[in-house]
Amino acid sequence: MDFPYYPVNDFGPVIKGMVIGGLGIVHVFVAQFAIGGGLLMCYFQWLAQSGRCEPARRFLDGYFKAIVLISFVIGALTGVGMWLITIQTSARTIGLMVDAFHWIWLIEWTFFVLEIITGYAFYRYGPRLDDRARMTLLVLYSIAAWFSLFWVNGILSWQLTPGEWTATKNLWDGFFNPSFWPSLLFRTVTSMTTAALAACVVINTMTAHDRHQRVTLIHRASHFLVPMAAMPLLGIWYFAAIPPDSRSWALGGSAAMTLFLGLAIGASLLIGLYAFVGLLGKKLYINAATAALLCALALAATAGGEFVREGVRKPYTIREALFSNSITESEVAELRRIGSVTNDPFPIRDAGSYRSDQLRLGAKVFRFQCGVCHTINGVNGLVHLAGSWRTDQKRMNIAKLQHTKAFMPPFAGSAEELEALVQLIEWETEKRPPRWPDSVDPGVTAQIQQWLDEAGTASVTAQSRLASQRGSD
Amino acid sequence: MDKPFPFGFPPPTAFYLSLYIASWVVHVAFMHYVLAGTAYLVGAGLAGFIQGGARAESLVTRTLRDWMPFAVSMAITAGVAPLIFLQILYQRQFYTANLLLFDRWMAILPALIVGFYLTYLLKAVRTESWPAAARLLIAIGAFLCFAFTGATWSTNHVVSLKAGEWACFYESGVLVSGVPRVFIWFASSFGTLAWLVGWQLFALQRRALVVPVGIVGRLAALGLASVACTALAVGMYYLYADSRTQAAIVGPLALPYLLAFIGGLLIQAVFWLAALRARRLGALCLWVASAGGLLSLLGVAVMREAVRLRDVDVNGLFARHADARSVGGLTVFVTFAVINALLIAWGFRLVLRGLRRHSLGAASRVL
Repeated sequence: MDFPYYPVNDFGPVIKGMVIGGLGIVHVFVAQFAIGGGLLMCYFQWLAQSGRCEPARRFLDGYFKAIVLISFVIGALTGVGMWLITIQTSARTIGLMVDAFHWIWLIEWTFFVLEIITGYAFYRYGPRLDDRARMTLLVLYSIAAWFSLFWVNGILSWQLTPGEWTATKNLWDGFFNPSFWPSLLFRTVTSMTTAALAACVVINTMTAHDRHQRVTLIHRASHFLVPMAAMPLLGIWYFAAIPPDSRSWALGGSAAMTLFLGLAIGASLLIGLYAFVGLLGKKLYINAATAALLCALALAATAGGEFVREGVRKPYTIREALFSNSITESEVAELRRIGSVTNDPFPIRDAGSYRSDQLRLGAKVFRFQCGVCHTINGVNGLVHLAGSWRTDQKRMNIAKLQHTKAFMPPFAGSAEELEALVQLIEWETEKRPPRWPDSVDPGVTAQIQQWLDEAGTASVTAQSRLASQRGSD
Repeated sequence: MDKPFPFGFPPPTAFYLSLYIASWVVHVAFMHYVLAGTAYLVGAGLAGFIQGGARAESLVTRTLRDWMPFAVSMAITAGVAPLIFLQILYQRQFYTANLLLFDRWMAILPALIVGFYLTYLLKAVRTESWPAAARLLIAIGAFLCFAFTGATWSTNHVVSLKAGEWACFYESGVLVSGVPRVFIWFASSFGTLAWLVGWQLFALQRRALVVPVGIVGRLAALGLASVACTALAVGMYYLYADSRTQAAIVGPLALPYLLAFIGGLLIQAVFWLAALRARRLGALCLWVASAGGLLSLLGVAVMREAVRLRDVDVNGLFARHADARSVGGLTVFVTFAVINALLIAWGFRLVLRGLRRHSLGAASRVL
């Protein structure tokens, strides 16, 4: 088996998911601003050219400047950054996403080119163009921005709900997967919300407008908050489309995910209440501070939502194709037979700090199988999670990892490697004592092997699917 | 590998290699504009600083300041397509080099963000009244950000070729340097900048703006110096390269492209000499110079690829490329690529018409 080993970097006390999550949230939020912003500008251009809102034109040029300065720089580069940080986190995941969907990425790229060129054309020449040309450029920009979402959404939703693709490997089966439409519509509404809230901030920074004009513009912008009314239904549709086990993590199965879901719902609810009661109902004026606060709430909602979307995929990065630690289900049995790090060409960097070969082996196994989501002593650290378990408890729980926690992948190494990992955790829990005898009892190895065999090589998700298939047969 | 590129490879490999090279050349043209353009702005800023800010801004400097943010945006956008093809062609090599470079590699993101914003600052009307030293510092900052990004990409490329040393790099944290190759890029970037700015000035010329003879001379000097320095840098690279690298460059795969590269440089040199003599920028000459510039970029791109193909287990990659080619979506891509290209062309037409109407309106208001 030619397993693609990659060098693994240590992020210190931080887990890689936090880095990719942090960057991802900023990218998604800025991208939503650009997508919703395009639609909002078309609306304001229509208001301006139809004479319905006199200050709309001046606002439009200022708002577009904000889009160019924020979205064209931060949005574009955090997009590239997502790509690069995904390579750092899970090179195999992004590799599979490229292999399976490179033409989709390239289609998205053609829309991105259209977006950038029409965007700059409007930014540079918009004030000198007539209404028809301005509207045409804005419509082209909006179409391009929204279609960028359309194409990327297909790939991101495929990661959680690959649908028929798992069996057929057909591109379009994967792209138009079960959560594609609810996810796309939900993100469209979210983009409109973000754009409206950002508009309220921009309106307040434009000194050229008097109070009356600002009130007019804010009320017009708040029309873009109306689609928020559909969010609960779209959210329910999305949750109905995702796999039952993923749904259960968010709805109580995992405290962290439930809390983040609560954050997303709570922040959205607050924005929705303010929008419908304050802005649309009582037509309240909104100052810069309140607008910024609502934007911060929208960012919190985005953060919560993205965390849940990423989290409910566990134990996979691509459901039923690739585990979080970049191992496929079909490779587990072979890695258990030959040892998961036997052929790993990359040595341990600080090998001298480990007291024995067994501990060095444990460190290598940790790096290969656990390091993507865990640290030793930092965030989600194994010492904190498993340090208090008895030695045999550690052996059994890790050997039957997918049963210990259903969102964990199966352990994919030999019994000797598992014992080395257990010894590493114990050694680290004891604060790295200078003497640490090797654990080489054949009886222990045999027991671990028995537990590994009992656990099987499939994830709980796959085992449940197979059981239900057998039941229906 | 015993036939000229892209022949001699299985069709899927040849297909992706060709697309990679084509998209990469477009990216490099924009990248050259940004790298050499910001270097030029540093030079102009330095001249302004030495003369105590009394020096009037040249047409080239003004054009570069005005268009630099758009050029950065296009360089980044145009870089996405070759990045995707690169991952299909050499996935393991590229990802491993990314991981080995780690923090330095990730540092290109903040560097690009800072560099990008500095170009906006250079363009801003408000900074025109700033002291010459401040504007010089902004230009230096932007240039360093883009130079760092370029040098890091170059190192990434070199590391990706050294599969036998990856474990050693990982353990020691010491990587090979891509700096010698950077000189080739830096030298050639001024040639590309010269003909791209030539087009921009030509457009101004057509709008009845007189391009001073001194400006044409400065561009010609830039173009000619670039041609000479590029030839020198490539020659030195070849002389100091190991025999396998030399064999790859003059081997059957890359030899026609080595000749194309030399031909491209000669065409550019002849054009700039002609422009110097004519003391103006003509469309035909600019077309010829652009063709020469693109030819030399294409030549150097294929030579670079020949060296890479010599270093990787290319036979092992053929199956991967065939698998990638079997994935659907190409027809839809071509369809949308054509539609979006037409929409972009329509957008251009709309803007040109609108501007014409606007200037006519302004003229009639004056009358």
